[in-house]
Amino acid sequence: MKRFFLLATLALLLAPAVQAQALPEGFDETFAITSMNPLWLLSDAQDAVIRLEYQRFDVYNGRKARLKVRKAVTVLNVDGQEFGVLAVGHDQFRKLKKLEGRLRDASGEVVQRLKRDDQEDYSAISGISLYEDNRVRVANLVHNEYPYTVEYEYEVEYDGYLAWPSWYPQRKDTPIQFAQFEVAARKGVPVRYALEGTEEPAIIEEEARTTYRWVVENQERFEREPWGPTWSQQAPTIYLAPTRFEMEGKPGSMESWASFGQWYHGLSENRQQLSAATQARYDSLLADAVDDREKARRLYQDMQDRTRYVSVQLGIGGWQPFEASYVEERSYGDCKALTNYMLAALKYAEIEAYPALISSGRGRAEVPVDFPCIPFNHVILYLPEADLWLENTSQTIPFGHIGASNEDRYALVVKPEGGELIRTPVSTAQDNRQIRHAHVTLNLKGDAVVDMTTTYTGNQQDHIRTALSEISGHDREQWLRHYLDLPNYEVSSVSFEDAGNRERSITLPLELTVNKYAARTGKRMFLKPNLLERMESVPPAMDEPRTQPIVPFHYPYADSDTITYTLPRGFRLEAAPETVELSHDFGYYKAETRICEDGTITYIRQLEIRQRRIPAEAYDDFRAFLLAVSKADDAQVVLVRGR
Amino acid sequence: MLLALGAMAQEPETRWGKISDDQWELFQFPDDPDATALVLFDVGRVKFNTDGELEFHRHRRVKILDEAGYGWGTVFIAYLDDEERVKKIKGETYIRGADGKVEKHRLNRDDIFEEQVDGETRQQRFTLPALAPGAIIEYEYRIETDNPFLIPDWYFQLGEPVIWTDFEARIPNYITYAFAVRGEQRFAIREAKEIGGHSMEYRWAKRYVPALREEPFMTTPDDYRARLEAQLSGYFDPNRGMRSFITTWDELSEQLHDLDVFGKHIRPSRQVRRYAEPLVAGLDDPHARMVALYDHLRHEFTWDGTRTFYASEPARKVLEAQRGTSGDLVLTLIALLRAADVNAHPVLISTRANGKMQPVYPLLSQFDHVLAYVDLGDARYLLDPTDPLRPWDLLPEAALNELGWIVFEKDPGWLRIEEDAMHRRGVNVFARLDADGTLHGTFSFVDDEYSALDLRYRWHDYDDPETFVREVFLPESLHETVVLDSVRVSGYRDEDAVFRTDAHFSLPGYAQVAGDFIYLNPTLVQVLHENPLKNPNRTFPVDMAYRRGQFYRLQLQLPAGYVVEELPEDQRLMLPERKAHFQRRTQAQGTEILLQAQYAISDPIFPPLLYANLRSFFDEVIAAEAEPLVFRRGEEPVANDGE
Repeated sequence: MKRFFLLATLALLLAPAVQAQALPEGFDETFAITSMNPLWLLSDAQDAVIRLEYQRFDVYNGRKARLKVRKAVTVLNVDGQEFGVLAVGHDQFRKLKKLEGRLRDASGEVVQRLKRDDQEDYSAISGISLYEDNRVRVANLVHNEYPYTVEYEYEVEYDGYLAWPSWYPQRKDTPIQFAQFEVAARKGVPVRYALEGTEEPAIIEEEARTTYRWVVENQERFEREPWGPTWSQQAPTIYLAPTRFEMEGKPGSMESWASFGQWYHGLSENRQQLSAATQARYDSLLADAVDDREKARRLYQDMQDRTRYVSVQLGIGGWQPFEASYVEERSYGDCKALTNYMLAALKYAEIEAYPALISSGRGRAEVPVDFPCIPFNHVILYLPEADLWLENTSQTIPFGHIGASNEDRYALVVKPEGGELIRTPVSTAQDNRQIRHAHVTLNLKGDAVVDMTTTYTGNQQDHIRTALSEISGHDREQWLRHYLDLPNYEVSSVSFEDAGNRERSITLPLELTVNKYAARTGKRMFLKPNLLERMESVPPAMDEPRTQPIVPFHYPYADSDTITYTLPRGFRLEAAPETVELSHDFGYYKAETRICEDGTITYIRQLEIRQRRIPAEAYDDFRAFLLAVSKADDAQVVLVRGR
Repeated sequence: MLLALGAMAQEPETRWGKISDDQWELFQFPDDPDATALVLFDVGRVKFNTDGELEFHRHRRVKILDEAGYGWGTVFIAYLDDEERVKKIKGETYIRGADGKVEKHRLNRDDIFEEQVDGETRQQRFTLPALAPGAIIEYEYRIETDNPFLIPDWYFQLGEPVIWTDFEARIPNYITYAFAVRGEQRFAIREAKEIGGHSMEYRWAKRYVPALREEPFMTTPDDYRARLEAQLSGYFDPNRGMRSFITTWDELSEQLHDLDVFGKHIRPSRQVRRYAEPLVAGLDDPHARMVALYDHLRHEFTWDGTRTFYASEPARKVLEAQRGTSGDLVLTLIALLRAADVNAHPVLISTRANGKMQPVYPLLSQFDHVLAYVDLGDARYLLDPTDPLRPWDLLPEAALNELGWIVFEKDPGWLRIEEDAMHRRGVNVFARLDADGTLHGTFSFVDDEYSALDLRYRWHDYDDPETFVREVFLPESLHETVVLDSVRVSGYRDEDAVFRTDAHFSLPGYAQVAGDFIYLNPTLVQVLHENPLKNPNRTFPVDMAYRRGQFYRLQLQLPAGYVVEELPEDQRLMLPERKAHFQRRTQAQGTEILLQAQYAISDPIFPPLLYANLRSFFDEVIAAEAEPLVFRRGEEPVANDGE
């Protein structure tokens, strides 16, 4: 459960005077290996152990804060080396003030101190970005004898940075021997926190400030069960956020989603002026459009035709969108600029629309609904009249489709009067389909000529479209060669025409010859009627009872294959697989091989994964289901020549 | 299309902003209908300005054919922070309307970003505005430096077709460069002329250079990319006359042997001798001394991941830190070997990713790594101690790149790097088939040389031997059904030459049972799952680095009451000169079947001429391995029913 407090008010209710921070009695600050839980040393389950993590966040006012960290990690083997490497993000709002480090051998003796040579300062720019201010300092202490312990101390000064550090009392890769997180706020400076799967802090009242402290001792690492939700979706977390803040002279409040929305609105207000030329173009574009939806569709496709996504993170810490004219002049922009440009277009057509901040991507943590903070990394548009959402950074995505990375989550819709959390649409298995029809002609050698069309809809369409839209010609054929799961074949014809049509479905016609598709032994021919779809990954059996839900895929989906085989003359059926049909809440499967009177064989396969999350109790059923699917998918027909 | 190309047979129009009609009308390149962009020209000019600085000027014009070609509109110019300056960046996009009028979009100064990439490198980044299919972009920039070593290489061949590429270098007589040309040697212009008695002007230009794209089993695309490399070779010293950096391999060797970071490093100092002494104490055999020193380095020293052919620290420091670049480790090994009276010399090489060596050009810049050459009189070895898992008698795959330059102090020479070791595996299966289709028994894998090395790498990724065996040896389709017992793995520690794996297995429902018949795929472990050579054609060799071989033997006991119905025909596939072969025999003796298959690639390099043969050889092997055995309930085989 998430809980949310205004610390300033809470502080009044609770008794003060918890004793000052101290390490547990007898704590070995040389971190000799003998003072570590011996089980962690023996077991193969971890590569490194956090011996000590002391993290303190001092809040001075809405702008200024300071993070102090002391950290010691024991590296047990070569795979643990990465946990001994420290990476600290910094930029104009977060200044790295101090960084010291040393390395101790197994006995706790200091054998190395962090030097300038052991550090690198990189641009933390992502590959697709043209410009970002973010940088990262990487300190790399390594030793050639395991185990060894690295120790770091550093400080980061915050000035007007909106995202305060979160803290995790458990880690996914390393056990924790002792760790402590403190938030110390000057009296009268409100600080807010929210807890996810973790306990209340101890509260220490002093004259000038209040300190909140979380302590963890001997914490095993978090075990993600196979096919469980991602670590970020399950991590016990302490969220922290400012209430009043100021970034580059723009003050705001995170007291509520509404007030944060107001601040964001303030940054983008009056940045939607369009040139006369654009207005004239829109006039003719919209002249005969019958309704707002049609108008929006035309404007959206015009925007897609004229722009491309280029990330340039500038302006109020990367929060302020560029003016619409920026995109007009350059024909490119990042998500904020393109969304603002689209907003300008809709405004011109007098269609109500608002930017919607969103935490985009697969496996992201849910937005904490009761705790206004900044989990967002993307912005899209919301049109309330038509209940439409628009993703503006793709030249090829269908109008009104937002894909698996934006669906089924809260977005902060930014209206002039303030922000409001609204949930984006959820797709069902029937939205995300793959429908395949194929005709296969086999000759005596078992060679197959395949004439096939596959139609993809919804999020399955995205998968194909995004793969194909970034590439063309030669690279598309390369993609196809890796996409088709067949041992050896030649493509005789393929059409990628649909890849750029921006429709909600894509059809891919394809002709192949597959040499020796059916195996021959003497007078028999062995044919696997399931041409292309194989369920290959099945989660392992679990020794202990399942506790975490199962995430079968990024979204629910339904596949169907209908494949007809024309056989060479003179063969008759000797053995055929029986029909398999399985039905559960989470999914459905049916595979059927029909022998027709004219001597052809028709294979029909349906697979549907219906749930996004399957309850932990159903794990064994789900596993059995996939095992049965995987076996049925591999079944073969035996044909024999002669009487 | 051809017409347009014909019109461009002259040197193209390269004046800024002057786009000829044929540049507008060109939309395709012969034999490459898939191009996403065409490089209309790429012109590089190197000269020394009046201040004696080296100036490199680049001017490129590109036709964007479709959205997938937009990447050509984003430009990253990397340069050395302290030594180089980028000046006069200019860019423009041109779009020709239906009326023939050309719209121009100038790159804005504010849209050029400068980025500190790491401690040494900076980047200027920009993207051109208003990209659209059919647009032509053009940009230029200048890089200036005081350091004449930083003359750029020039790539004639790029990822898309190049219509015209032209590199000119005007070199004053007081300085000289050696130029090495790689790739196809056909030039439209190749000249060197004297200018005004004070300079030489060199020029290389090519017309219609096809695109080069990456393929599997390729050392590096750069091996086949037409390019020009330059290296400073001499300069005029007013007091001493012409001073040369390089002229011949012999002189290079002499110079290297005078350097602290090379020749002096391998001359054993007193410290090196003291260090070596205890390691070889009591070892009379020079071979044993060699192995002892090699093992010491690979176990106790850490390679930092950087490849160099020279040392970055003196031997004393390398021995102290037990850490360094490949140059540090190998040259220190040579020093230690010499200290132990083992005859050792450095061999400079270019690793596979760095490209093939060109002995005709005495350029050290071609090398990126060094090996230790040991001559014991009756035998010679090459050593590379950078990997703790690799025994002395294997070279890393990266080093298997045809040639090495052996740097004897007098008379250095060339050495063909031929690896005798191969990727070698033997598989033995003893199995019993039950009437319900269950197959059970024991299998053993004996992996040697590269195959053993590969397994040792993978062994680290697994927590328990059973999962290792399941996932590394068995095909994915069996992972969840196989039941393993008595798993024994030996040789995962590097000391052992052979990696041996034994297990009892049971595969319920492995064979298909239908009526009186049982159908069984006898190949539990395939040589190939799919054909790695997907492309129908190839213009450069397949280079698999080392030879490969697999032996598979299955001894199978039939269930009681079953007899052989059909066995697959014996197979014998062979490529010319026995470069690759596959052979399989199946025999039945009563109710026992013996199947033996042998697969070998006995020469890792296949010229383009044999590409089609190799590709169909792989197809045939895959098909042959899929051929099932058929058994029937009954007393004895039925007579052929005369189909």
